[in-house]
Amino acid sequence: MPRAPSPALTACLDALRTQLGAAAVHDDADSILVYESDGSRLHDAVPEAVVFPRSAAQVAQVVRACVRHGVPYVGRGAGTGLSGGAMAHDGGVVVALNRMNKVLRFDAAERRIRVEPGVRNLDVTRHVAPHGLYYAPDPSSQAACTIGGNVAHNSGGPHTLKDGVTVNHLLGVQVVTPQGEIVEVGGDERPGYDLLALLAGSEGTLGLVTAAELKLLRTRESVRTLLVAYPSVEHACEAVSAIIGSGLLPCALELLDVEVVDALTAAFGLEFPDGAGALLLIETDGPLAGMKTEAKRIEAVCKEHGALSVRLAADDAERAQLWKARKQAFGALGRIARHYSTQDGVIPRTRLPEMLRHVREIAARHELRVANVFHAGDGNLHPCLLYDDESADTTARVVAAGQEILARCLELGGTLSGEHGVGIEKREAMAQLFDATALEVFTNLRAAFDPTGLCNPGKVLPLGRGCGEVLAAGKQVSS
Amino acid sequence: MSVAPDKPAPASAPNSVGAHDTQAAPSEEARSSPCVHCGFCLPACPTYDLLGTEMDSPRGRLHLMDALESGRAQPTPTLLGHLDSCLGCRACESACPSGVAYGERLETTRALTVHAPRAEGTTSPWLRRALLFGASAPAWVVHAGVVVTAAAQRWLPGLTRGIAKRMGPGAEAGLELLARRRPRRARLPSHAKPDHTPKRRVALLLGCLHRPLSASLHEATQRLLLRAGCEVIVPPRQGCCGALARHLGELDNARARVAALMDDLAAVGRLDHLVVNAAGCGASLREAAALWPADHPRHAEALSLGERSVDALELLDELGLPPARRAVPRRVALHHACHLVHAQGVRDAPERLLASIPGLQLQALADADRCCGSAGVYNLLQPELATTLREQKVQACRESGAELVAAANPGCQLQIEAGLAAAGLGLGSTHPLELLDEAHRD
Amino acid sequence: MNAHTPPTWRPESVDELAACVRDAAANAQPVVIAGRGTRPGPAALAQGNPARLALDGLDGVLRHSPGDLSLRVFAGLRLADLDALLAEHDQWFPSAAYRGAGSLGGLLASNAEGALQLGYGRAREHLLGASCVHGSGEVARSRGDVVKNVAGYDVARLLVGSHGTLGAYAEVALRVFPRPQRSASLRVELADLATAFTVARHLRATQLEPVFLNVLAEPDLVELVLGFDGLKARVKGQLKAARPLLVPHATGSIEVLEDTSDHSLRATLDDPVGTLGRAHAAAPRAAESHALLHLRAPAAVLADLLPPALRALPLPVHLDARPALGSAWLGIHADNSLSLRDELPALLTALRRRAHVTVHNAPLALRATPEQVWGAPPADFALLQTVKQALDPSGVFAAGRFVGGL
Repeated sequence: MPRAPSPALTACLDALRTQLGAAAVHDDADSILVYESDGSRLHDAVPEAVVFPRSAAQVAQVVRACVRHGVPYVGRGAGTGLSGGAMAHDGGVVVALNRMNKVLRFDAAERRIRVEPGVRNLDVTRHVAPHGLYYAPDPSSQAACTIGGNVAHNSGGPHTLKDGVTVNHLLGVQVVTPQGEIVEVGGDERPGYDLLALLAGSEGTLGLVTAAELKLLRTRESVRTLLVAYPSVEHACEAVSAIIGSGLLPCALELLDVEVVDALTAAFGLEFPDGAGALLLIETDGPLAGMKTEAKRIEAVCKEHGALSVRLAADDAERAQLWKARKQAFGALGRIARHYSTQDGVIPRTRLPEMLRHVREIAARHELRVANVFHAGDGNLHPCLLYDDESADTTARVVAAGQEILARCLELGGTLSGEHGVGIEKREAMAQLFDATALEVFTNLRAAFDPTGLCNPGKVLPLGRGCGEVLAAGKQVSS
Repeated sequence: MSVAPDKPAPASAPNSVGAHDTQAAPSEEARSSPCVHCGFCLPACPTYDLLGTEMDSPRGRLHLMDALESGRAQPTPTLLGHLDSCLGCRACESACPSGVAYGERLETTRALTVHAPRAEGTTSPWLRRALLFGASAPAWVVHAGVVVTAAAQRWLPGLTRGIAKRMGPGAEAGLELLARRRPRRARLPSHAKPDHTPKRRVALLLGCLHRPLSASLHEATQRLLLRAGCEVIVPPRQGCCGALARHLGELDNARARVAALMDDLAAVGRLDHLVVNAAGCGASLREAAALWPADHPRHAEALSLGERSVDALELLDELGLPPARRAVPRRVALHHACHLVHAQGVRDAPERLLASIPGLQLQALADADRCCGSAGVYNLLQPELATTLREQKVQACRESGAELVAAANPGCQLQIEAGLAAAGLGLGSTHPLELLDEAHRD
Repeated sequence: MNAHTPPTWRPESVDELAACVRDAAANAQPVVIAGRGTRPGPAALAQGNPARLALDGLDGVLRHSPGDLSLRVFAGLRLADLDALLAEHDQWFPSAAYRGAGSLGGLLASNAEGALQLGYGRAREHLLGASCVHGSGEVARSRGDVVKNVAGYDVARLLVGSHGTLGAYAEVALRVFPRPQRSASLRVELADLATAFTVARHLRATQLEPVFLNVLAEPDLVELVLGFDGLKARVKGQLKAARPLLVPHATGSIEVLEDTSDHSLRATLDDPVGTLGRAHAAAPRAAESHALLHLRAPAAVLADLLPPALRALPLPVHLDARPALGSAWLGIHADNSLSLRDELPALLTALRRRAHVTVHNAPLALRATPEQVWGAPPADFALLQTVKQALDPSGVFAAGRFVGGL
């Protein structure tokens, strides 16, 4: 049952209705209900209200009202995040930025574009494509996810292997600070600290991005996309290390295991060679000069490492189809299970075969099915734990298996998250990755930016509680 | 909850890398609620695009429907408002990698909540009643009703406007659309055979409201089917396909309509296909079996009806037409009717057929598969959103450089035509079949 | 403590480094981090009498995993040593390939703009993680030296370009790369600066992927240089494709540089501070009669701004512009410090209207205050202060030499 709104919240919302208009403030039961979850379902929490600002000035009004009345707030884009980062676990207000979706400025000659945070990732590329340009970071959710969310999570994607993640493509941002000030944060060209590096991936805990200036790349002259089948994931992983080690730098190197292949077969009618235990999707791009040689060398390395077959995408349509299948792989898992929970650990590439054995072993021990589709070139895993019921027992097994997988990533010299973020999901594990001093540095930075502690509280930094308690706290709010 | 069969998979190359029209069956358990919250449906949803609120998105509506089912939420007027704002265009189904049967979920929920109170200022019960009456009345009554209303709208606009005002803005919009057509009885032989051995034996569905309003389309359809080598029967007794009632959530009414139609068709003997030239009717017929539980005697019958129902464009594309007799030198933009492209998975057939017409230039239309706002009776029930979508569509048509906009659904055609007229553009609208007919007529 | 001879500390371990900072904080002794002392960065005059923290004792490799193309080293590691180590495995770190004596920590803290930034990005892009000592004198450590990592705030990158004002790198983890199969470059002489910028713009609009593209100018000479790396076939193809684009504008022949000549060109471009400084090394009292400016502005602005500004200046200028990076280095030489002191303020005012300008070198009177060196504080200065306050609350590091007196 919904809790009675506190007088502070009522006062805050009244103020916002006056400033933003009544239509921009929703606190009815049905509206707040659908904002209880994002792209993951393990961390649901119903907020107390959702507000829809239309401009940076309105975002600043929202932040100031929240601060004045002591109401926590959290920014949200398209709600495609996978770590519970946009959930209002302490109640309060969800600041939905998806209606701020205008392209503000585009300079084709300087290859830069300034957009509002609600512009979808793919729409940036669509906007600039007629000028032979594109925006490189391409998270699988790029058709739906927003630039604001990408900045908050420093999003990656298959093609960041060569071109780098969001922070490498940020030229500037406008933020509303937790003090309610609108600040233009400069990039590399102005002397000062690299605030872009700090803000990218800060998961909305240091401010709300209200505009982002992005670097665009020129569409490359030629592209070759290969689909290579291997008898096992181990073979495929070895090929990955060999390709990278040989000095070839494909722009994407993706691995799909047999479970994912099954789901994709169901969803898209893809056909794969018999006996394939894993597929590598490899793409290389660049000037036409030398492209043939490069593709041939990649093919040769693939074959040296036991490829069953190598298929070169015949044309743009086939290439697009392969990528569509890859990018919708998570969603397609709905064909083979009702729910999934994915992890996002990164490990040194050479440890991939070993890690995948651990993943299978951990899943089996918890009686869960697991499907793997991930950025092999980066060593960025996405083991998807599949489950069909939401019982407490199943959920507990999923959570436990996920934590074990992450712990193993850390043991192998890896990290907790390559692109999905820490959010609420992994915050307790942060203490295993950073020592007390490093965490204190984070805490100090956060307190300096957000002295009232109302900006997306409870995310990223550990509270010192176990994950079970965190989940229980989340459920409590949502029930 | 009843469960529909999957869309019949059209014949396509088995080794193709998954064009969208080869959507495979979701697993049994996946069918009940496989939404994994990925959000891929959000960019596809016209109402989310316009309103920007999760409640008015497919993912949000599924969430609300789940909550209704589990008792976490009540069918309040606000909640139902979010469900009612859905066009039912099913673009989300094309975008959904998990294969969520969204349309079916929505239909079921709408049926369960059809009589729950709505917020004030929304559709008047009178309009619903008038539409349902149209769907259930015998063909001659509908014909008479449409003729009288159209005439009244033309000659006594003050009177009709007065009545429509009481019935709400939707009725006014409806009248405005009606005034664009001169209803007449189609001149159709009830049984026509090609010169040689027929390739298929088919019946032509005329529809309810669509019957008097699309007489020339029906005539064109019959000529084309004959030319493609079909034996064409126009069953004299045939009523509504039930789609209208389904859109309104009146499933009992819809069942009665479909049952009556099946009985009428049974009277004309063996049929290879029931050919439909209105995408909305076709989509509903293909999913007719969902109206009955699997153990109901009507279920199997409806399943067979669904399997044999085919859009005229899809059938003509499959059978092929002899070379065209004349060029149609027009610049044409093709709007993909939602109930053809998203609900039936037919995307390429209309384009291929139009491309086969000599002299015809297909102009690229931006967001061609985005709903025009017609969406069954949506433009009558939610005129405000429908008008915004119509304006977007008109804008895209304007930018396409076309002189004619083709849409494979009479509803879309009317909607777009009204929009073009309101914008004062010199563009016309037509059905792809009429263009084909122009190229193939004697 | 003698005011004229500030102490120099030379820690030999991370713990010693932390202890130095703790002591400094306890005694309110400001500290300037000197790396290996090869290239003092741009800086305003220090407040107080800061101690010098030399990091050349913090040398050596902690871990190198050739198969993973990553390594972790101490921040004082000499760049030449890093390059030599990687060369054994046919790998390299492009930002360290030509720099020689400097330290890795210094490279990062100064956000040095190397020769190959266009092709490979800044060192920042390949920084996997770091252990740092901030104002508290404690070592903040992290694990997980992998190519993608979004866990926590990216403090390692926050320190890039902070010029030692937020803390010292103790250990640094890097992503490294296989060495390219072949490198080569082209050099062409052009009629004037405006033409050079135009040609550079045209080249950028093609499908060529140069790893550097510089407009070089000195009195009576304007050149364009560009280089390619990669598979032999790729480099060959691009050299061939570039040539016809240059021919119509060339005033002389197009020179192809390979091996040592290519290498020495890159080494020159890699260190504009040294290169443009050396151009005037023969001049007496170089420090007072020489200025070195670094401009940051979009390519179109540079093309617009520089030719008339340089024409108007009655002093000889050496220019190394990297339009594709939005960057330009200006070395200005005067026969006597008086004329430089007369001419420079007007030039700076004109340039600063449209570009960020950092004064690396100039007569002392023109580079004493933070505003003179770095220009006016940027729009986000309040946030820079917030960061400084969080990481170095007692102000141990750098003593007011950075932008806005940070």
